[in-house]
Amino acid sequence: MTLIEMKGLRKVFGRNIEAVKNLDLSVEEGEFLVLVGPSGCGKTTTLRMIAGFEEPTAGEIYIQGRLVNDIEPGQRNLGMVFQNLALFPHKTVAENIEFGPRMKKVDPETRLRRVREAAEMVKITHLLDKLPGQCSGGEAQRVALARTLVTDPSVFLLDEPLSSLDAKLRREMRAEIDRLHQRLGKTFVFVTHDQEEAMTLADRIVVMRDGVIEQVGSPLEIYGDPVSHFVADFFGSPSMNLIPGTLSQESGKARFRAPGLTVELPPSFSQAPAGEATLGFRPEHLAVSQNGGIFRGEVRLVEPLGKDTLLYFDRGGERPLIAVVEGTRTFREGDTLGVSVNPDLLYLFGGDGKRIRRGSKGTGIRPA
Amino acid sequence: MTASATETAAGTGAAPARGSRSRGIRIFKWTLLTPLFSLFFFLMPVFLLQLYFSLHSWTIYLSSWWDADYAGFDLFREVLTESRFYWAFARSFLFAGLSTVGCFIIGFGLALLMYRPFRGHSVFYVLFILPMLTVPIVISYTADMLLFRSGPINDIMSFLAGTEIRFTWLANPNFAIFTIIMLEIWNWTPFAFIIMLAGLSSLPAEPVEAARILGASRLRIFWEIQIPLLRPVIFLALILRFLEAMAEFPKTWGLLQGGPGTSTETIPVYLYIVTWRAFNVSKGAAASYLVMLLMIVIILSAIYVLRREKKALDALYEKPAGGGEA
Repeated sequence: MTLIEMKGLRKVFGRNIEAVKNLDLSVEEGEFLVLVGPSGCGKTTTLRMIAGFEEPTAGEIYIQGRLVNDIEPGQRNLGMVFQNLALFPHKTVAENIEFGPRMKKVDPETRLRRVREAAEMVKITHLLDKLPGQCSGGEAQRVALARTLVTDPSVFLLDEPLSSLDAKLRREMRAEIDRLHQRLGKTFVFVTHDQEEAMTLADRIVVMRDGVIEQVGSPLEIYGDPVSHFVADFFGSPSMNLIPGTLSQESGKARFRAPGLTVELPPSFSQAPAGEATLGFRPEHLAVSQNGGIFRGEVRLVEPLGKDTLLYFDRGGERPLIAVVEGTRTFREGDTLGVSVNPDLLYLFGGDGKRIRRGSKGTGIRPA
Repeated sequence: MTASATETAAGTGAAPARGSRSRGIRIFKWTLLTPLFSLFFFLMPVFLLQLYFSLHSWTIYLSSWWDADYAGFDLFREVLTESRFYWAFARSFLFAGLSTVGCFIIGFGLALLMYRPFRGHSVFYVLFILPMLTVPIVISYTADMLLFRSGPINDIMSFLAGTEIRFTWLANPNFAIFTIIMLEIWNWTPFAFIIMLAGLSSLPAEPVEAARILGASRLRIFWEIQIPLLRPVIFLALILRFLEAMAEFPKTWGLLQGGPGTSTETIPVYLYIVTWRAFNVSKGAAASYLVMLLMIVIILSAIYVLRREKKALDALYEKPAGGGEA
């Protein structure tokens, strides 16, 4: 069932800063939807319009079938966790959690029980008498979650809630949020600029760029079947190798050329238009050998990560070419190696940044 | 500036670097302390002279001041047994208290209207600031013209009410002090306005939004979120305004010289009358000393309150640590 529906949503700030341009999106009940994109892409503005803090310049928002454009944030049955948590610094943790039910005029006994339940759910019962300032980052995060879930909202809106935490804590809280989503079975709309967060948490990812939706899909669809250069580049760490060059069609064979690199493309690309193009392949789809390969180069940097090792090849472009190899193999900086790629795992993007799809044989990799 | 210079010097690890560093600190220390000491030595004779006068019985009718008779604490006793002195205190407290509250309420109200920018808000901003930039003596003479019995204020009120109103704003001994309080409020509301506007603008937006989405009404948000977070700013505005109002002289004097009778004789007016109307310089000095002691007590307690508020504020906004166990 569709829980939130946005139709032709548009937001203009000031005279001509268009943060969100004509956005259509629906959020299904119970799903974990992640809005992701670089800063300024309109993801936070979209979330704030759902919450009711920003009034849409045009378009409609429906929550549970009800038009909410003119409804106060407090009447939309939403919960929100803010980027800076926005705990009330002068109230204790218990008072913070109690605030929502108290505003909704829940009787004191039920209130107390619900505060305790919420605190137990995120394991902060020992903090109830403390002030937010006395909590650590992770604890404050849990308080913010408890304050939101105690009101039993139909949707949880989370605006980059993990961005202020350090890496280890962020992973922990990510797992915590995932657990909460599973346990509560509620709808979550999560905003982030971190592709890894999006990949690990989302049922469905909405990639935004310059106020428009670039692609919507499951994490594996987004990763395996990006619709554009932008999406391909944004997801994955290390990110996809993208080599600008030209595509030519010579006697029925598609050939991609870039400085120091010529690749015969598989026959499925024979319908691709000639001209400016970008060739992309994921670092983990590269094979490295002593000789042969589509490209030979000197290893400039070896980055062992334990399980895997990253090899950086300098090919004169803006970005190095990166290959992921097994950590058990040893390489030295300065080695000259050949790099080959499985032709089935190649991506091709046109001069406009859009994906050039294969002709006869479907699209790139399908999710396993 | 010396710090950065010595840091680079310290990088080379040379011994002279350490010497120049301590010299830099010494220079910096004396740059700060010299004005303080000169001020102290400049002010000290004044205080000592005042003390001399307050302990000697001298009026301007007597000959050279250094020949005055030693009076011990007689003059202090004279001031402290004089009901006029206590009445002056009571009036000053009434004046400062009421005008502070008035300035604060109106100033905060205007700040609440103004802190979200709207079209043309800067025009209002300038208008609201203007009274503070008006010279107090100009206010008192203008008020004198506007408020006399058949003056424009009474005319306007008569016109609005439809009946003849001839209110005695200034000549009524029971009301005159309230007229001055109203002028003080008019004069200094901008001060409270500016401080509260700054306080409101510096409040983080997110707690208010969090309260909104949790279903709190505007009024609830105001009382439960905004007021508690503004508390230190509120105290600052109240304390500064109160201390200023305790010392108000130009409007009170320019308009009524403490009259009718002694009905507007506040502490500053009392001191002036004793010293420069009665030429009782020694008694004025003794009274001034007493006032100074009282003001020191008030200011110290104000500083104590402000420091406590500052500490509470720091504790509130102490950022939860990024790391640590969850």
